[in-house]
Amino acid sequence: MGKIADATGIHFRMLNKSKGPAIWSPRCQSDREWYSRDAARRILGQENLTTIRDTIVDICIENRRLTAIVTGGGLRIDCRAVVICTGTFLNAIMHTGRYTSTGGRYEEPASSGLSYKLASLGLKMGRLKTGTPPRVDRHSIDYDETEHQEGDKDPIPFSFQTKEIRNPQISMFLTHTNSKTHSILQQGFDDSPMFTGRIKGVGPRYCPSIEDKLYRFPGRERHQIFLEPEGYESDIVYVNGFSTSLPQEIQQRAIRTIPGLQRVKMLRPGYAVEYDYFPPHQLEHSLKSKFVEGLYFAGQVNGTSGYEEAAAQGLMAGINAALAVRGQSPFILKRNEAYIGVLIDDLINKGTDEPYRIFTSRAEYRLLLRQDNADSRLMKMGYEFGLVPNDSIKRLRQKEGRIQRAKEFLAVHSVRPSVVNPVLERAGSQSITENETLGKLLKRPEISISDLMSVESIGQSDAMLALLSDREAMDRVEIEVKYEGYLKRQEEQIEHLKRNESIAIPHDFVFDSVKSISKEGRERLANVRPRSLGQASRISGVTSADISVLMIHLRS
Amino acid sequence: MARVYHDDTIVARATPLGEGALAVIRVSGSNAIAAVDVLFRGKSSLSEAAGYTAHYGRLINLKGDHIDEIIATVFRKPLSYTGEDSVEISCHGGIYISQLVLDTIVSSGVRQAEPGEFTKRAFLNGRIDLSQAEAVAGLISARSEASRRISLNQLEGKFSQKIAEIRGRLLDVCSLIELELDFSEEGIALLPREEVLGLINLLQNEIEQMIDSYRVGKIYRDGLSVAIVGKPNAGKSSIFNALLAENRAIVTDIPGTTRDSLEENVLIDGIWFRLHDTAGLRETNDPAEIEGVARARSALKMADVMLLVVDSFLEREREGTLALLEEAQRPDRVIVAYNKIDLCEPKRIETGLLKMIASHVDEVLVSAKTGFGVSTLRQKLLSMVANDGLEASGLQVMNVRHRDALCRALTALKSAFNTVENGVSGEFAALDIRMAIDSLAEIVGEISSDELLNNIFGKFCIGK
Repeated sequence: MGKIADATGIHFRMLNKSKGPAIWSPRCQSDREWYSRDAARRILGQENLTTIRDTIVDICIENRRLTAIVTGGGLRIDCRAVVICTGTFLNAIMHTGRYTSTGGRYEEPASSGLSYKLASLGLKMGRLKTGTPPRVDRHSIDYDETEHQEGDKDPIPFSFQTKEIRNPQISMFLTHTNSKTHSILQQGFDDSPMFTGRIKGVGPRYCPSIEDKLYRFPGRERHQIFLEPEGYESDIVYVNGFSTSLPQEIQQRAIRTIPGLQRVKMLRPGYAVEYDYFPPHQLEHSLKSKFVEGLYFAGQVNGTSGYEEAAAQGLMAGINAALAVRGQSPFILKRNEAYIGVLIDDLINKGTDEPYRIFTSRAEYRLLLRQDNADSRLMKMGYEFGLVPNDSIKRLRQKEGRIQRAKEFLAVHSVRPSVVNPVLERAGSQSITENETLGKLLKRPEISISDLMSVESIGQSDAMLALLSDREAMDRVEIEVKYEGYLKRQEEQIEHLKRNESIAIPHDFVFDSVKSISKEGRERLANVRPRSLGQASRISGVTSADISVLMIHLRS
Repeated sequence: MARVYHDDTIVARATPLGEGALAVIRVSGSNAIAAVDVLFRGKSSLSEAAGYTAHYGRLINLKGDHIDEIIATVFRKPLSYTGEDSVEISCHGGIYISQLVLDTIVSSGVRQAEPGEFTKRAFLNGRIDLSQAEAVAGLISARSEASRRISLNQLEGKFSQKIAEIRGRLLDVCSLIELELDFSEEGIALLPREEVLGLINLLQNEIEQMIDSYRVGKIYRDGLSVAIVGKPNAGKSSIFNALLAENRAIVTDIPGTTRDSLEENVLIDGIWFRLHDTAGLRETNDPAEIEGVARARSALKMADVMLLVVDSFLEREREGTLALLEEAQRPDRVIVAYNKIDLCEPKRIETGLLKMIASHVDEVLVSAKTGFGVSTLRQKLLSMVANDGLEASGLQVMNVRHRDALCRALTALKSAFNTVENGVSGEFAALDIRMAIDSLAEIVGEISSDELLNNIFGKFCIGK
């Protein structure tokens, strides 16, 4: 996915640059058509992979173990593992105002059958909703009325295997709703499937529809709208921030009150889609069903939002399905190893009643889970599964060597006041009177690594020279030295909490037998069946008193 | 104590071992009422009794022999100390008879409780939190009114509520900071920086106050130690005896009589003072006295208060007195007692003695012999507590575990404050605030390890 994003991206931007490096997050918008072509090309060209386009109508299970699937085309495929990633298509209904139609996406039909089959296995099922904004004609926008937002000058690729981004970047356009927009939208509330109760599914809190935003933040006078061209050649512009299921006529009138869109031509209205999902507490951390061997679930069917969350689960479910077939133990990322770990752990323990989105605020170890060290955190794991090529891992090792040498150099090398004071003064930093190590100087907020490298004796040292050709390594060195104290404390925190993670709960532990755990706690524990005390403590509805009781039971 | 918690039925003597009018045997667990009922012969059966009712009857053993006449008080879960079904048996208070009652209960299949097991069950059943459990221990060991009051407040949950309140406010700040991270691209600032700083500062002050209260809380629990020091034959032992109002130390007019340091506790207005009578400080060649002097100096080093006794009659002693003041651990906790005041002429006292030393030192004129000034001396000792400027209002930290956790929380908050003040991005402050929150959670047992639990409940006596 990262590779395809890099190949087809038309707008790259590092978000949250105003915050610290742990919060920076790379965003890329791809050419929609091109992305989908490139993805299909790679999948179809993948060795040892057969692609069949069909519907699953039945899954065969013997002794709680999956044995085969049957397609609508009448094909029976024997298999030991299946990953269900049905997105928003199971029993999907699309809503625009009072008008509804079946379908999981514009011009794509819904899938029935499978839901009932899975439910008949005893799996619990629920309804969720998500939405999409209207699409408009790019030629009908008055761009002068919008704020142009260019991509980053020096875009950072998603994949560590991409050396650089060569695509020319196009701008996005920022505009805002206003009170006029809001009052028109409110006229449609009576017809909104959200408010008339016709949509039963719960919508996302984080990418809410525009009507949700008005309802939840009545005090806000305006909301951000991004106009995003869908590609270099495409005439279609995605009105990001204006997701809605209000009647088409209301959408039309409301959108034309927005600066830049007064004469806009709406190509197709926004709509909400409602679909079946399977509450994820029924899964193990490997994303395998707790009840059926070989049955895996990934993506929106687990109650997450699409895109990144779905892709991450697809990767993990795929790896684990393959490992299971090979008879190997599952691959599980921990909360302190990756956002993927946070995502899956949250899904299983906390459940979700709205499409789950991953957020910085959800990751308690966020200072360690940075995009700049993702390669060091995860690439070796991918390499072990044969998912990362040799030369990438070699480059990673070289990069880590450069980082290590530079950090050591900065830690031990000190400078005389006369040498470094001019640089400090230029940066508005207090001058020094005695020799000081470079590491200490770099910890000053106003001093950057380039400031230090402008001192000849530092910049010309071998350790630092090596960074000049490797910008990512240089950034890492700077971050890890600057924030060393915080990073250490975060690691201590992890150590501290590890103890509870290491207290295992036996597979066959009967939570209901522990009467001194609260009734709700027992129910939740029995539902999720945590494997460690640490996991138990993260289950919503389980109190700290419950955990104390459980701990004493487990320590027998 | 690393034992599985079942609700099996346990029994223990709840009153101390010894002769008394009554002894109370406590039984708790799912089978408590039935187990006692089997051995009970009264007007009605205990199994049918409602909670909070007392029943007179005879206790028999399994063979049917009459053991004792008892009152059985029945408690129905969850309305009991442990939160389980319980029976409290009041029997006759002899050592032998109460042991026999206990053995009889055990013989009907009830297990002897471990130290603190009743309280541990109360904790595990959610009746009390960890700090309340500790308060039970504090209440039992309370030796003074002030200490009892503080423990009772803690047991009633006032301390836990305060911790929960601070923690709740920290969680609010932290969640806002974290939420802001998610919206940073939209430029939504949920909490202005000044407000964050103000809030952290406020909570920092509150935690600091609680930490400060530990010193006072500790005094209410453990009392203050007072080293009575001075030159030989200044009358230290006489003052020691006068404060105790008994002849505890051997008093002679031979300098150097006291060789060993004597220690005795005295309760003054609800506060315990641990008095150390020490050997007079002087150069000597007597090996026993040398050791005595060494012990005196070490007592002085450990003491909270230095009570310096000066012989008012002998003017030449004063030089040496000044030198001894240098050795005070806390200059604000020094009392100078001019002893043998009965031997001096009144005029000389006023002009010659007082104001001799620095003004911040408390001075008292005493005659251990006549009792003159002893009550003033007691008041001076009490004022040493007030020197810390804190009242026993009820939220004192009495427990070193609580103090340590509060100190960790404070350190983390200080770091958070600096982080925010230096304009560093919110995620760093969030880390520090989280650490503070975790430290506070440890106090009430929300984040607890089993070692911690065992440690705390292990401190109890059996039957609690």
